[in-house]
Amino acid sequence: MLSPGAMHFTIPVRLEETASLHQRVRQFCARHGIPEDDLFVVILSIDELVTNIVTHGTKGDPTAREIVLRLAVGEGRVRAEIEDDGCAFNPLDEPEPDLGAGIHERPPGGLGIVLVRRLMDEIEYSRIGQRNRLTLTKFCH
Amino acid sequence: MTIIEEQAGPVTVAAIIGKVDSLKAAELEERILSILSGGASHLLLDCARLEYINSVGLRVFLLAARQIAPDGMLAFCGLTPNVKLIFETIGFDRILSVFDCREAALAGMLESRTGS
Repeated sequence: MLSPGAMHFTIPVRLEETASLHQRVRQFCARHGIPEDDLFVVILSIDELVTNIVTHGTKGDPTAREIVLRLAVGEGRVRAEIEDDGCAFNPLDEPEPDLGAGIHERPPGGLGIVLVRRLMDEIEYSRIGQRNRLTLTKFCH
Repeated sequence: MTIIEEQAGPVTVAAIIGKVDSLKAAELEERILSILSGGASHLLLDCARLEYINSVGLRVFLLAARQIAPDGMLAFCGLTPNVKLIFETIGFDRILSVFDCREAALAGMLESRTGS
C-alpha cells in the first residue's frame, strides 16, 4: 500500500552526487511503500538522467549548474521530476541505438535513455523558462 | 564495488560484487580490460552479487565483448532479477553469452573451447 508524500532536493552537477542520490531516493521510496522492483527501476532511471545531465549538460552554453529532483508518491504511482538549468536539451530527441545490432556493430552509447524509455511508464520533456524538465511516471503494481 | 578474480582451469572468473554506478564504471573498465590484456582468453563475469549497474557499466561489458579474441569467450552468470531485466531490455541477452550459474557457465565455456 502506497503512502502519499513528496520530497525535493537540489544537487550540484557532479557524478559524485549520484551515490548519495541513490540513498535518498531509496529511503524516500521505501518509506512510502514503493515495491522493490519498481524502486529499482525508478532509481536506475533517475541515475541515468542525472548522469546524462552531468555528461552532456556541462558541455553546452549555459552549462548546467544545478539539478533539482522532485519525487511524489500517490494515486498508485511514483512521479519524478528532474530539472536542470543548462541549455535546452531534450534527450528524447536523440536517436535510439539499434538494439538488434551485433557486438561489433552496436554503438556503445545511448543505452541509458533506452532503459528509461522502456522501464518507466511515461516520460515527458519540457522546457520551462531557462530549465530542462523531464517528468517520469511509474505505476506501481 | 569489489572484483574478486580467480582461475578455474583455462577460465578466468571475475566476480563483480556490489554496485556499479557512473563513478565505479571507470574502475570496472580498467580491471576488466587489464584482465583481458593480461592474456585471459576465456573470461566469466560472475554477477551473482552484482546489486546494481547502470548504462555506463553496461557499456564496459560491450567493450569487453569486443576485446575478446576470436578463439576466446566472454560469458556472464548469476544475473539477479534486476540485472537480468536490464540485459533483456537492451538486448544484451541476445548478443552476450549468459548462463544461470557459475557451474553451467564453466561447463559451457569448456565445451566451446574443446569444440573449437
